[in-house]
Amino acid sequence: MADNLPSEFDVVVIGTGLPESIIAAACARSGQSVLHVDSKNYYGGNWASFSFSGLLSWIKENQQKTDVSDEWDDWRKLILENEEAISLNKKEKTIQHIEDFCFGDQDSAEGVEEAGALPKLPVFGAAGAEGFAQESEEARAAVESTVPESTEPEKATGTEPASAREGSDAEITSEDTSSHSAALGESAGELGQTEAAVPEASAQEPKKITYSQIVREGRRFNIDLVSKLLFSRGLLIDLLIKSNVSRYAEFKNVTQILAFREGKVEQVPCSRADVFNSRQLAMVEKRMLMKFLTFCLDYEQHPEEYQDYENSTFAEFLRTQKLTPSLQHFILHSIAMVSETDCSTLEGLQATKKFLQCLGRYGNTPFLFPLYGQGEIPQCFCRLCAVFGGIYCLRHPVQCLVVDKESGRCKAIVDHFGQRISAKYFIVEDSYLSESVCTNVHYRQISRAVLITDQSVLNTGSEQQVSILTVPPVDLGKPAVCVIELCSSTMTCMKGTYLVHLTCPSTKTAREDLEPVVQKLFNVNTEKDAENEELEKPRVLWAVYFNMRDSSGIDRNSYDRLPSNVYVCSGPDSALGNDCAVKQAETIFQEMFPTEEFCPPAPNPEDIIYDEDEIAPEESGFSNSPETKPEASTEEMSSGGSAAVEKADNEE
Amino acid sequence: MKGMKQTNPGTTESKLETVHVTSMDSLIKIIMLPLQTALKIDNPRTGLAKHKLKVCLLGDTGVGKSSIVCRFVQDHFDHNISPTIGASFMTKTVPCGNELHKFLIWDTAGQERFHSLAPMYYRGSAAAVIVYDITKQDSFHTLKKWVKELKEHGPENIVMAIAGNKCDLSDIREVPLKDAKEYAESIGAIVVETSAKNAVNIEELFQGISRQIPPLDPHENGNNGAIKLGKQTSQTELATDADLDGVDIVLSNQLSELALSCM
Repeated sequence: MADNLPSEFDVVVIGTGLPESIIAAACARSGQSVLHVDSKNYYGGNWASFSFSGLLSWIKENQQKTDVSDEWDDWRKLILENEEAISLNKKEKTIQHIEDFCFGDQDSAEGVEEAGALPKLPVFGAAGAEGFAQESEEARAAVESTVPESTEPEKATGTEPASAREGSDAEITSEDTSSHSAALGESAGELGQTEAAVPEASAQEPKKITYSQIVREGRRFNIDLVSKLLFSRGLLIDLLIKSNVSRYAEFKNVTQILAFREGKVEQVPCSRADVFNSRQLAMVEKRMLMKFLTFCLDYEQHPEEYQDYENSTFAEFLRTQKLTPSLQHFILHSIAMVSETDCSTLEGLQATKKFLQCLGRYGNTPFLFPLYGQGEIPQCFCRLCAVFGGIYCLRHPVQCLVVDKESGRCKAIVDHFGQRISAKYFIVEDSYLSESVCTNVHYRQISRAVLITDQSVLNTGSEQQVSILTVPPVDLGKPAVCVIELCSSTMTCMKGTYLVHLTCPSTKTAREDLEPVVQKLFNVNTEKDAENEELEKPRVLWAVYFNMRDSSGIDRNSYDRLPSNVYVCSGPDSALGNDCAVKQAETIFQEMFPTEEFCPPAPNPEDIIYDEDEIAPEESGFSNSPETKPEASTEEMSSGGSAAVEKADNEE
Repeated sequence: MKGMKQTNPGTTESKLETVHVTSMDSLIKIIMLPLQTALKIDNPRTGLAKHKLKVCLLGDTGVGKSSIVCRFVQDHFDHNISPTIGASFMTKTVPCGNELHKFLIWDTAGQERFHSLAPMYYRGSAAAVIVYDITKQDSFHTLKKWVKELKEHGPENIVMAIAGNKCDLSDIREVPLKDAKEYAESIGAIVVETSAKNAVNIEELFQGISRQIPPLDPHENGNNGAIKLGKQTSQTELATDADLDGVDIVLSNQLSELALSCM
């Protein structure tokens, strides 16, 4: 666009991840002029969510190891004698060891029947058709075995009738897929547009999903690079509500907490209602569990119960309580979600209490998940910033920070157009800092896997469950793996599929860390080879593994020659919640503007309503109005969780 | 009884007119007011089903997106509307058949200026108004980019309406109506030339959108189990979409399951 950027701001923010976006919103809200840029063409950095085709492009981009060659050095001429430049990274280096896999597509009698619905499908544009033909050819080349009796109905419509099923038992490994992924990545955008016409009826029938369907409905996926949940009493929820940013987003409750024990996935009863309705717990166990959870809610009041174990691990402490092994497992792994070997008694009690306190605020579990994915949250804060005058530029790399030699303070940036933009404060996301600044920084890694599967890990009769499952480590001392399974009503995957996120702090590559868990929970074999037991497991249709840099918790002083008015935001951490990002944003904002309030409510409609005499009574009456009943009833039932736990003793 | 009053479409407007804008904050407050009022209306007793429709605005900076909304919602035109004050959203309710259509119109907040609109802007939109300036050929060219972006990020089945704004300046017109009509037909969009300044075709634009919106499905209840976080700290802060129905008409109906799982 012909529009030029202003050359002076109060605050320049580089990177659109969660902490940067919160800071940008807070600054704009307090009246600062804000320029917010990102070198990428999407919001969120490593906090982003992608459609399926978007994710394939992201994979391709990160697999290219080539450095940016068009190093443009002219900007150095713009640096004056009394200044020095700190150049910034042009290329993302936070993602490693990406491997994606496409598992065999399934055809069956049901699938063939669907062909009847296919004439309704629009004819693909030439590009799309080529994409498919190419894909299936490559797939056939990569896969040795084909199953003769079945053909793929979707393909028969207009692409290539002869294309028999692709990849059945062999998995197509990364090197093979990357090339056709790329081809698909380009065609998928157009294919996405045709998805509107896919008949609803066929999407609702239970059936096998093929890879080409995933590609065709790729736009229905919103795949998070980081997998997190919002604790219902966590800092992020509080901030969303306080700042009124919550009005831009909608959420879904996590509906079930699961545990993996003795090779089986089971539901963890955690609210009072759950405990009493549980069929897997004996009456004695129910009492034990209620008693222990009740104690945890106000454990500080009963130091005599745990003080002898303050130097023990939480797991050891649990063994001394009157709890059966299965209850110990539930509490340790699924409720406190802490390490068996490293977590002290007090930390464990604290974690259990946090979990219990979050129960019932919005539902039956402590967690919320944003519709359309975690990537929505940074965008919501960016919108608030924009509403208050912040200027947004994606695809806007920054060449360098310009530092005044005398004062040692940063005074400007030079962008990729060579424009010099001055500001008083600079917020830079860690991945933008070049190696020269980060030589002394030691980064941890996060291991991630994303799977698209065809059914839930726990068949409950309802298709629309949002679940969190903690898989304890096989080897003691290794990290547990957090598994979050999302259903299509979270708007993150197409109907008939589930999006499964696996996360743990890295000890090796993501695949080495996570594949054993994937194999335990899912069927990655073909029908022919699989045992009956395997057949009951959800099938993996597509998978990607990658390691992401964890730049959280890094001391500012480990960065070399960082001017005092340059603040560094970290990328996502491996924890389940978002407290780390919110804390960092608030700390940085308050260092910059100690006297300003952090994200005060954006003018609240109710405030004005109170100004208007005639409406005030109506409005004030609203919160108690009977019209809120529908959700109040949910609340009442679910609040049984925490409220009732306190009463449990009476029932014994 | 509560909420009955606001369901009269005229109320919001008259309220707005009595408030003087003194600062950005208060402007934003005023803009927020109708929306929040709207969200609190739950009017099963008025007889008309309320259908809430998110509408997003697209188009180059300066083509008159905000002016069109200002004219529609407040029947007001301001020559010097500041480009940086991006209103968050405005609302207006109009009757349509057996329903009331409550338009929640989201402005771009200026994020379109450097082509940096966030995908969340499009989420759950029932309709998009794509605006160009009939006196600027360029703005008609970029219209096609906006349509492409909308198709990429917007919901499927979104109603598209193209508005050729500033038709009061037809003596310096650069874009023939015929071109716009041909293009609109090719993408299945409504098209109309408007003047926010002279209040030409603004109502008609939104009426056109209304006509394209399929009626509420009585079986859907509009209740999808999605949760809006509220301000109150009491128990009532849980606002499942019972009172936001229609904003996300694409969502499935999950509340009953949620309720069951809470038992």
